[in-house]
Amino acid sequence: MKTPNFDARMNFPEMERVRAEIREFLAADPAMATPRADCWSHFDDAFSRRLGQAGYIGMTWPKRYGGHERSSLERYVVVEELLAAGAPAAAHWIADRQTGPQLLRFGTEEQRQRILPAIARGECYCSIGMSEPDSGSDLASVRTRATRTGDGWVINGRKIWTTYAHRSHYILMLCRTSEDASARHRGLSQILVPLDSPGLSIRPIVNMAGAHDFNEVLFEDVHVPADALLGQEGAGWDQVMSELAFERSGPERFLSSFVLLEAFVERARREPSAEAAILIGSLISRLAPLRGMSMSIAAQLGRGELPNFEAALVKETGSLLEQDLTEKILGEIAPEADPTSEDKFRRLLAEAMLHAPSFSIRGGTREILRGIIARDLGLR
Amino acid sequence: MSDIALIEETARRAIADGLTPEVIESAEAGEWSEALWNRLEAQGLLQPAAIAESGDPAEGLEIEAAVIRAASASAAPLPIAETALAGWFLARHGIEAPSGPLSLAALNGAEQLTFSGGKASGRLERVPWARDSVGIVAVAGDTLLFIDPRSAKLTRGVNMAGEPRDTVEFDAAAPIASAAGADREYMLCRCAAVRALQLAEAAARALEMTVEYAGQRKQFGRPIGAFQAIQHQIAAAAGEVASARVAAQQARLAIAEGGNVLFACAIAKARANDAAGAVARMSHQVHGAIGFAREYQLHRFTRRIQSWRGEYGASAFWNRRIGEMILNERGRSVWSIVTAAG
Repeated sequence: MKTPNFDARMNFPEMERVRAEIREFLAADPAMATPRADCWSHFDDAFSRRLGQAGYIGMTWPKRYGGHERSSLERYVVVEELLAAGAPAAAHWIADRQTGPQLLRFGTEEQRQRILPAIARGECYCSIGMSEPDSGSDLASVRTRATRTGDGWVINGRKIWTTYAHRSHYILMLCRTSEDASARHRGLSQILVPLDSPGLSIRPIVNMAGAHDFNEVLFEDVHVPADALLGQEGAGWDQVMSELAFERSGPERFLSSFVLLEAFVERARREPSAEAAILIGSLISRLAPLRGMSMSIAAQLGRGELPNFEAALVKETGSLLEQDLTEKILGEIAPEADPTSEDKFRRLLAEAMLHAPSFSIRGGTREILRGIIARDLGLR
Repeated sequence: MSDIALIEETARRAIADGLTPEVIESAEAGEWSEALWNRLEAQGLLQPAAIAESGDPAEGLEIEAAVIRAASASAAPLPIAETALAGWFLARHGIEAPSGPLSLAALNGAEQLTFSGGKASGRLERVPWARDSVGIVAVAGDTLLFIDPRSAKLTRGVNMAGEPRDTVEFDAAAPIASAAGADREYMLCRCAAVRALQLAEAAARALEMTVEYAGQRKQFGRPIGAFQAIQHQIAAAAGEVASARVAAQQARLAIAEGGNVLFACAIAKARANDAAGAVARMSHQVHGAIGFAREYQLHRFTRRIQSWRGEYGASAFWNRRIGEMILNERGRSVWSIVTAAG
């Protein structure tokens, strides 16, 4: 049986320096007047530009690509501070978390120089082009096809659940580039497509909270040049798998609605009770070790390792905690949620509850993650 | 292999070699496992932290944790953790620890002990292995006492795993030694952190046994581990084990580095209690009837888990302490408390 590798020894002075800096930045930023539950689904491009100008996007990337050459743990601190404060961080989130790192690992020098500096400035945003109407958890069944032409690729098909495609600049697609049926996984490639390409249309999908972040993106003979291919032709599956450790292990898997807990504690301080104290303790005693696990993965990613098993464990236990946080506060103590309320607690409770079902679906469903964990334990 | 891993491996081997079915049976019947104890003592595996206390305290705690991991992963029926803990407190207070098994009493508030005129009086409940120990560490007021159980009236008791949990009553007994500057709450935290580690490691072993069993047991023509209903229960339990282990490590780091000890130990014990409880339930469910049988070894771990969850604070006790700590820090965000604690 494989044992996950977590090490909670994290005591680096540079982490606390950057924590003080980002707290100062957030305290002065106008966007922080309204903290948000599930904050990394709230899009505010002006905020992302200010964050980029201050040097908090692309933090670990080389300076020649507009990065800041800081450690992965310093980046971790910034990310968790954004989440804990409820900052509207959606605009740059995907590009900073996974598209940029994918470009660094698999991109050509030209691709990196063209795109990374704009991402780091907080001006260029990316979407994930993985799911399709008929391919969700069974990702290797994607049918969107990229066919070689004389000078590039022609793409036909559709992608769905593409968060903020309507406000982003690129979509990183997982496409079928070979029809060899015996090589379901090897026939896939990653292609970076500008979202303003002719033939590409974007249809909104409004979520149950009433917000428009999802889209369906339709590709009808969309032409892209040969250098839109990211990495190796046919290596798309492996590349996507390496992307998932970044996607799954971060603190957004357990902190996205932390502001709700803050608001609950503010309320409970006015009317303390044993029930509230026990509930707060039961949530914190799950959150603190998860944070240690997630930071341990950040350190491993910084060393170039790909801890997919550990990332799956963080996402699985993290999404359970996020859902329980909302569920227990709403279900057991304070049921009066109201998305339109002036009262911060009632508004955040409604926002968190209406987003909670997505916590164990986005980035890999609970069932897929448990399957990954079971495989690494040697059960399949 | 690092020094810590080497110590853990040495301890695992020493316990595996000495923990025969006969030793397990006689320990279950309440007998002291003298030969196994002597084997571990001869290897220098007992009181590890007290030995290291003179040097690097963080290293001492890691050595202690390595031995306790080995003991918990094999459900060794001996007060290995208690001896390490008691030895550590004696060393901190400048008292030389004798060789032999030690115990300590750090229950959460139920016990009462007074110390005046050089004599200790009072009653300590559910003291681990009191009957077999050469001395018990306890606190009266702010005085650390090291008391001989032979100077007490002893009433035998056991926990669900058959581990001795005795009641000792002292009536003006002269302690073996005493020292000023003891802190009852600190002792409770330190004990809770060690039980958290024991729970995490017993749960890890139960999980490992369950994975092995699910891979071997065939029904409907395939290993039961091939069924998603089984895989998903086991996968969820793997997350519980991982977080309990990290929580126990965080508590150790807080103790070694002088962090927020109460906060970290409270979190560790609450997390390990719930995690190990969930793993025990899952392990029995996946094992089916055989896991319930005396002849099968799973219960040696799950009975310990169910006993240890209540010792040195059940989850509601610690969760309430954590919650009250946060509620009482008016003007501070939860986040600033969590991040300051490390």
